[in-house]
Amino acid sequence: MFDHIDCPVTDVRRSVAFYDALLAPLGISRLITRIAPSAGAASNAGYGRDGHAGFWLSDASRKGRLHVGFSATTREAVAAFHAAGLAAGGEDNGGPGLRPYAANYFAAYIIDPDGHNIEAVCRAAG
Amino acid sequence: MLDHMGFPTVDYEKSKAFYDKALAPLDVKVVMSVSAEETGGDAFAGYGSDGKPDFWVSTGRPAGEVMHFHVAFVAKDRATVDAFYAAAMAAGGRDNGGPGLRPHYHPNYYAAFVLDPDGNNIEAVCHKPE
Repeated sequence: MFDHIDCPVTDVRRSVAFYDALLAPLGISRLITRIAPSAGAASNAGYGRDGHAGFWLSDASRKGRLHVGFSATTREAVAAFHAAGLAAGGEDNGGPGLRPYAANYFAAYIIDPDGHNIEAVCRAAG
Repeated sequence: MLDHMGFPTVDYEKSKAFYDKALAPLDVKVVMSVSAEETGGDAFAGYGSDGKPDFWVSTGRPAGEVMHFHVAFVAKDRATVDAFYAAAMAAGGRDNGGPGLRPHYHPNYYAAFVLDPDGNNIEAVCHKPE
């Protein structure tokens, strides 16, 4: 349903270091990076799987909170995502485990440096 | 790669009315609703196609919080992009770029952009040649 989404962050340089670590366990990597040469100009970075950048970070001056859930193929990947997020300085927002949203909804939640609530979810039977 | 996303709105009913109309041409509609009584907090509406809620609109945007994000939905053809734009404008959206090719992205990038009631930049895009 989604083609791509763009998540506003206050410092793309800081956030790419965080998201590089956070999304690696899900097989998602940074495909495009445009870091502005000077302060005041906007930077952005696009992450994806299979060559399509579907998740973008962009510099924005105002903070807010977005929730984004990434698909994971296994429960182990969900746990690795959560551990990587904590190791990268993210805040725990719910450890790996089954949630009552749907059968086999195994998810973990990390708060990123801007307060965005980032989730990995595996819907496959464990 | 993306399973779902969600965000709080300033005026939940107004935003729901907007998305009901704007997303209808994309065959995306509310497939799950959760009330404030059920959650003990915020109310949520989950939009999706094929029964799975992917795009969640909720109450609870804190006063003074101003954040604009961007999301693009896949459209199956260019006529669907046109219909999305017309529906969103009729529903009170603000123009942020009418239907047309954006060849600086790639030769067949046909898209339209509308600002929702909170100022978020909502796009429909078709990548197919015609």
